[in-house]
Amino acid sequence: MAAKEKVPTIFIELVDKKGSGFILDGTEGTRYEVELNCPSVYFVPSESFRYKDKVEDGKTTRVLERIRFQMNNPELSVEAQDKAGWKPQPRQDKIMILNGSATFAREGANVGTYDYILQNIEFNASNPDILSNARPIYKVVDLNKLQEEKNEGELMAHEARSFVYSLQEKKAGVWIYQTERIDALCELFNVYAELPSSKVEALAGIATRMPDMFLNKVVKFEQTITTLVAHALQLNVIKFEGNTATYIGKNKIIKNLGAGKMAEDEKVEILATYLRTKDGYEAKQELEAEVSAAKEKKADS
Amino acid sequence: MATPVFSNRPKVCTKQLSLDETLTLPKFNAFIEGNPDTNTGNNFANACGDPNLGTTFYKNVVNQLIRCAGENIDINFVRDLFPIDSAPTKMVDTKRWYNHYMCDTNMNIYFAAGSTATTASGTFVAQILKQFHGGSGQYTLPASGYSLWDKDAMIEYRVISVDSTTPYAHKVTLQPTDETVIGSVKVNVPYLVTPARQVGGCSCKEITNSLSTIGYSQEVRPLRVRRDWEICIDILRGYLDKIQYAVIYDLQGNPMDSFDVYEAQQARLGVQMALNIAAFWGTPTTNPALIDNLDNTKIDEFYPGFYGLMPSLRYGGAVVYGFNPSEGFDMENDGEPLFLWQDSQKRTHKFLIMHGLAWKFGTNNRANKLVARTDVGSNIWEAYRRMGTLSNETYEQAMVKFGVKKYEYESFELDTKLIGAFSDARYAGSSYWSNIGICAPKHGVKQNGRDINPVEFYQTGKNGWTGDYFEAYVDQRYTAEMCEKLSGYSAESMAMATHCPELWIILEPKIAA
Repeated sequence: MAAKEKVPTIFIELVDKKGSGFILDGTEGTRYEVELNCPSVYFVPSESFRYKDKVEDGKTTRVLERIRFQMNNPELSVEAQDKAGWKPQPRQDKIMILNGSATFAREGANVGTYDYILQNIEFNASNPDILSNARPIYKVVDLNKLQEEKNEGELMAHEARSFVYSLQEKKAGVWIYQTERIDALCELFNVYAELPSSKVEALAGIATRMPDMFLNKVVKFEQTITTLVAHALQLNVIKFEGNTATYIGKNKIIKNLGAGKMAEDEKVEILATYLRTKDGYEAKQELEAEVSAAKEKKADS
Repeated sequence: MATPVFSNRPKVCTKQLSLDETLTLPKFNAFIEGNPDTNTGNNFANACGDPNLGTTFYKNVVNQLIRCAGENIDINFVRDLFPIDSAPTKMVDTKRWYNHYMCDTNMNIYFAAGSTATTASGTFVAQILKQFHGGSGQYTLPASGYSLWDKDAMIEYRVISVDSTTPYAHKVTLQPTDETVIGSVKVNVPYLVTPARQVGGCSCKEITNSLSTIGYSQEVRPLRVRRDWEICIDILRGYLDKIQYAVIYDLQGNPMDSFDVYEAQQARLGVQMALNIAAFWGTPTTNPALIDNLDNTKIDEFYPGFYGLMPSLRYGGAVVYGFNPSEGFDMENDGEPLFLWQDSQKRTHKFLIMHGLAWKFGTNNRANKLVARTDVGSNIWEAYRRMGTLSNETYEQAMVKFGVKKYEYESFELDTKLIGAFSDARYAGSSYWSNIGICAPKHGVKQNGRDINPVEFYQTGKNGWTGDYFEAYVDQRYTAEMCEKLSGYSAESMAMATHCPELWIILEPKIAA
């Protein structure tokens, strides 16, 4: 006996899903946060259209055909149903999508349901023939791709969280925080917390929920200021005298960078970190203006 | 008609005319030079090429024949949907609060994937769907020893164990109680859990922790809206040239003569429009780029806003029923499946349908066609007669009800309310909204067992300081800068919550593509 063929199965998901603010108790702020994001049940209209090939005078053209879902009936064509005398049973002929998704297998009584879901060109966003003015209801989801995307998202979230947790270090049983960097990031993401540990937790929360945005913004933010400092050095706007950053053109100290022997790139990073903070905001603006003026001067000459 | 400049109640005017347009635009210069005696390029008569026009216009102006016309825009429609009388604004003394919901208790669970035992009476493992976990994913309804029932097949399974290692992905080991059954569970099928153990005659304790309810909480944050205005006092000292008539009008089309009122009214109108549309479609601001405590043009962290009516419903679990608006919502074909669903969930069966005009037309049309479909020949009103008999009314009375105000069938009662703003394309309305029906539950939204309003408005306030509507007026001649200007602003805070979205129904027009 031949092996049973695998029954074609599709998984569909509502197209229109967004946050509602209704969060499952106990999950808020956790990586398992569950938020209601769609209707509890969506009734899909049971009449629609599909394309079919029509042969006339030896020429094949594609024409629209009205289709109607009838429970337990694999035939979808309204014309064929009417011809056969199969009347609609409105109370039964309903396709319901519960909690935003559903699975349909093309077998038994569900052949019609499967075909209707897949073939209609009004409600199926994944149908390449979907009408341009349609307001689709659902899309067919490739579960393997979905899982891959989920894995990718998890990986990104992992990277983002790792970055946040790298801002703290445990030395001799005591946590040491890179407070200036943490504060600058809190400023960037509008995070408000009293303790450095709470700030790290809040940043980790954002990193978990929106890792993509978090990483992009952080990289851009950190690079922009570092570039500014490097540029200022290059244009001879500032210089490092020992561990002190000062302006060359005017007798003004920007920041004392601390004690000990430091490499040039270390000094750049410390100054950039300072400029990212709220305290360094004015200094940053001043430096930006000086660099801009130096650039113009260079261009003029 | 002079209207007080200062008011503690919002008043609005819909005439689209700014001071700048009135006084400086060439168009207006043409108006005021409507007198043919003047002879510049802006002369109204010259501009239009008809010497009589200028005279006619001038006379009309003098005789005040200009009027505002047309239906007023219903700026306040969302707050009017749930009038203050029935839904008084609640005062809260915090800027952040939570509503907790357990509107839809369900003793069934769904599985994430199907699973089948390999032998009769054997055990098998199935994973519970994510949504059926609570307590940070630590708990689910089944616990060791409980029974799980395949309702339609009347098969009982014993829960042998629950592996709760992975939050939100608990795995249940099941075993059929009948030795001949090969156990099997499927996706998209509800399985009932009865939370008690079957034991022998001399049982001992076996404490199990299981979930009793799965609840949701929604955070509510207020939204604050403000609009400022400023005018130069000089324009109040006398109109330019020949302007001796009113150029602005109130909502009823009555002329008004105070420019400053107009500016203030525009401010009031702006505030009300912003609040009403936010209450209808709005969602909280979460974009960090738009939140800045120090930037006057942005919101701060304390006023991100709330989920308005439609996002709360649509994405918070309401029932959405797609129907064809060109055929109209049909009480039999469309209504009855909905009623059956409502009954299966034991949800609300008395609704107030707030709808646009097109929805009503479509529904009436389908209702009337019901008669023809019953195919009763000369007794064409028989369908209605039967309904009348059911409800102990004459069929004429039933007809009136059916077509206009109310639909009653078995225990279901639908009252309808036409919302003009849904079809007002000048404002929030469109073809889509004109065809929509939003069914608000008339009962079922409860707090401590008592029915409450399905929508609540909130105001933040403490020690007499509130975010209620406020309007300020400043004469800058008396301030340090001593400018000859008047200025003012209107501002108001608001928050709202739509309770138990799953008890609501949206009758959504799927407009043919």
